[in-house]
Amino acid sequence: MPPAGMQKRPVAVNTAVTPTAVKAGPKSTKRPGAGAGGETPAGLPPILLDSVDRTPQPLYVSSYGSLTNDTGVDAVGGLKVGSDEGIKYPAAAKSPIAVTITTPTAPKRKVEMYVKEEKKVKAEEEVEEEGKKHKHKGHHGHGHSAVEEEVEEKQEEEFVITLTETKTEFLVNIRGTVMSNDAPNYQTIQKRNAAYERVLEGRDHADNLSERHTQTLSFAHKTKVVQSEPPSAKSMSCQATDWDIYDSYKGEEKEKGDDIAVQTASAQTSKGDGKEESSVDTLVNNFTSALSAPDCLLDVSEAVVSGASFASKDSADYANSETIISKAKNGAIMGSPSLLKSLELMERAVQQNLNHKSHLMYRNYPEGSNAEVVPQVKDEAGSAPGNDGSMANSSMSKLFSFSCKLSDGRSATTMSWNKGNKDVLAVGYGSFHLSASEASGGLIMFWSIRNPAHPEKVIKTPSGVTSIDFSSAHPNMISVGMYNGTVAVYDVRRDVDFDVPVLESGSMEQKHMDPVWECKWVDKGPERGESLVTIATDGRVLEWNMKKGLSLTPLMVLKRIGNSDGVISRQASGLCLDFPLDDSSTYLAGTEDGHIHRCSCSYNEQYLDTFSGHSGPVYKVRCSPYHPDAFLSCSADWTVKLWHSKDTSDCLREFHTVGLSDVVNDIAWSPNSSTVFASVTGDGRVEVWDLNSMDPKMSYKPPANEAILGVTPLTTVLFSENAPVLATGDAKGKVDIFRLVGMESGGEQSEQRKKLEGFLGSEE
Amino acid sequence: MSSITDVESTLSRISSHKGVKGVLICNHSGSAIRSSLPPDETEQYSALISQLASKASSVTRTLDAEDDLTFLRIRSKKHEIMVAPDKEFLLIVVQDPEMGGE
Repeated sequence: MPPAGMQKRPVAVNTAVTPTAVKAGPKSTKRPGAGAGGETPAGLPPILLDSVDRTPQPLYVSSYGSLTNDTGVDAVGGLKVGSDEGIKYPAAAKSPIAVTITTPTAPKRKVEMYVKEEKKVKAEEEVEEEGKKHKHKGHHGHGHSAVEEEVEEKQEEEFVITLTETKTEFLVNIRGTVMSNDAPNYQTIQKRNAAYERVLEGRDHADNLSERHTQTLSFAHKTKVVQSEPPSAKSMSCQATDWDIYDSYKGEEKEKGDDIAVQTASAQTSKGDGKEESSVDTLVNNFTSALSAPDCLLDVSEAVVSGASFASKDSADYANSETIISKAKNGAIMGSPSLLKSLELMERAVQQNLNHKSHLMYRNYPEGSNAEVVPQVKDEAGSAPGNDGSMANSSMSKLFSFSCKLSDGRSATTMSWNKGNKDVLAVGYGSFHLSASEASGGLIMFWSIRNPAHPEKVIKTPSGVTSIDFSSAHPNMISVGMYNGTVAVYDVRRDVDFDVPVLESGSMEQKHMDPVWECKWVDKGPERGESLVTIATDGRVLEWNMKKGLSLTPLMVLKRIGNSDGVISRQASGLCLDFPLDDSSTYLAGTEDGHIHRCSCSYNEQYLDTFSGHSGPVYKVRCSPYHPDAFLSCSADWTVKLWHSKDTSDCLREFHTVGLSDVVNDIAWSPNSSTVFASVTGDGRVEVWDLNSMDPKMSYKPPANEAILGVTPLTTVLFSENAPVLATGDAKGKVDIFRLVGMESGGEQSEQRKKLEGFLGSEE
Repeated sequence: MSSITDVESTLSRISSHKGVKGVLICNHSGSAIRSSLPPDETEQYSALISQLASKASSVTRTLDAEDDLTFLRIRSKKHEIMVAPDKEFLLIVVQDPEMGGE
């Protein structure tokens, strides 16, 4: 209702919704439905502010006729004074007021609007007329002129804006107490006024009016005080260290980046320990926080709350949830794999403390006093005259002994250094003859000097191991030949199921039926890759190929030569095998008869050569790493023989230690010195020879007290390639590591070869 | 779980080594989980070492936030304390190093 006293109802007041809402804007016209093409729902063309759509949404949209320019609106949107055309009601209006309405929330920035609309909607003449003045801005009164120019080139749009009267809001309504004489209810009000006055007059003398007084008591004030405990305050402090900040930052990033699926998947695949621990964790946290709050009503003692959890079996403790939880937690920790890792690390550290000096000697660290530390065996020949000084004053000292209870009952039958990591020694355990331990299978243990008390890894095999060899092309593959004739290939890189061989000759026909005494990886060139060659007591030499599973090719059947009457089988039992340096097409095989045959891989009918001379089974044949024609053989006839492969009549040299009356089980060439080799015998001796002399350079026998118990035959010997040590294995399963002193490398490859050649040549 | 037996066997092996006086597993707050030392020593070691290990870890991580402590050795005149820290626990071994190598 309009307030009294106003003549007209200026529509303008009502339509001016708020001053801020109606903004400058001169005349912009737009035909509403003329295919506006604007993408906005209101039909406006999109207005882009810095390429962001900020089209002002109209407060009211209707579909009335278009606007014209000459309405009573000036540049600021206010009414032109004295405008005759005035403001018309929308219903009757031919031309509603042209304004641009923007929302108060439009950004208060100078805006440059790019209008996408391409169509010219209104009549041409209008556009040209207003060309310069058309502005489609949402700005709030700043920088008109600048934007004017910018918008010059832009297309023009027409807006239709319709105004209507808004609802009248009463803010204050004070009714007067005065009325005019010609009001309709004048008379009634007069009468009422008069009646009231009469009442007022009669009040003083009225009979039915009485006044009374009473007094109320005011009670004494009593002060009552209640004291409550202050809310328990806890002070928390934290030291924000660099890494703490880093951790939280990382944690946040991880949270953001994690896919939910990934998270759930990882949560599912996490070990049971982890899950149990985390739930136990939260439980424990809840309990401890509850129990340790000062307001806790439970009668709980400090000691219990702090979670002392020694192995107490009192029933009283079991009743306490805290102990149970901490027990569960500890159980989880005890079984966790990270504890295992820490233990292994610790074991190595402990061993390092014990074996520090030995480690240094192994690694050949220059250290002044290492010669005195460990008991040694001195060079028998003293400083041998006439040699180059490299062998003078040489000695051997025992560094470590790799032994472990697991190998009880088995003898160390074979050893092999890993070709990739030359510190790892694989030792195969089994037996040379059928024994009680055969039923329990064999073992391969991987030893490292870091822990001489326990192998790094143990592989159990179904049968005793008689030969192993690490592959050079794939240093994680190891081939195993077993007592029952099985040939298997294991992958040592596996963490789980490493007891399961990668390949096994299990049920193949034509596999070996007898113990496989030697298996060797040989590189057959780039096309064929590396293949495995094995020899066994059944007299066959087989070549195995790993291309598709395990497939074998017989290379040779060793036939007996010589007198073949009265023998059980025409086949000779093969005991050893070796390939000459750089030549993978011929190989040497030693048999039980004492013959060594030179055979060719491609010709499996006949031997190329036969070397006879041994009177007992040839246990090992070893080709020199420096010269393809020289090889050594050791046999049960107590001797080691040096041969030249061109000379089949007799060996070049024969080595037999005076006083040795036991088999020579194994020989090994030194990788550093072309004329040095080592041999081990059945009476526990390790001997290191130089080709020049008839007696061993060094001979190590176990000390006397061990000899009382019976001599342990030594079964294998190997030189190490990256350390001046010698490894020997014995029949009790112990592997000793000896440090060789005074045997430094005698020179480079070519020099060595010449030395050997000279030696070979001189003997012919 | 085979890892528990592995853990147990390794633990017993370490304890039986030459010169090893005791093996102790405790958590980061200083309460012991497993110990082969007498209880008062256990308490002392776990409380003191856990604090030291966390300080040492703080040092390494402050120097380089991506680094972390893997092993800590304290060698004194009489023995050597070796600590292998982990996320949830600390493994402490006290050894007398003189008895070994010499």
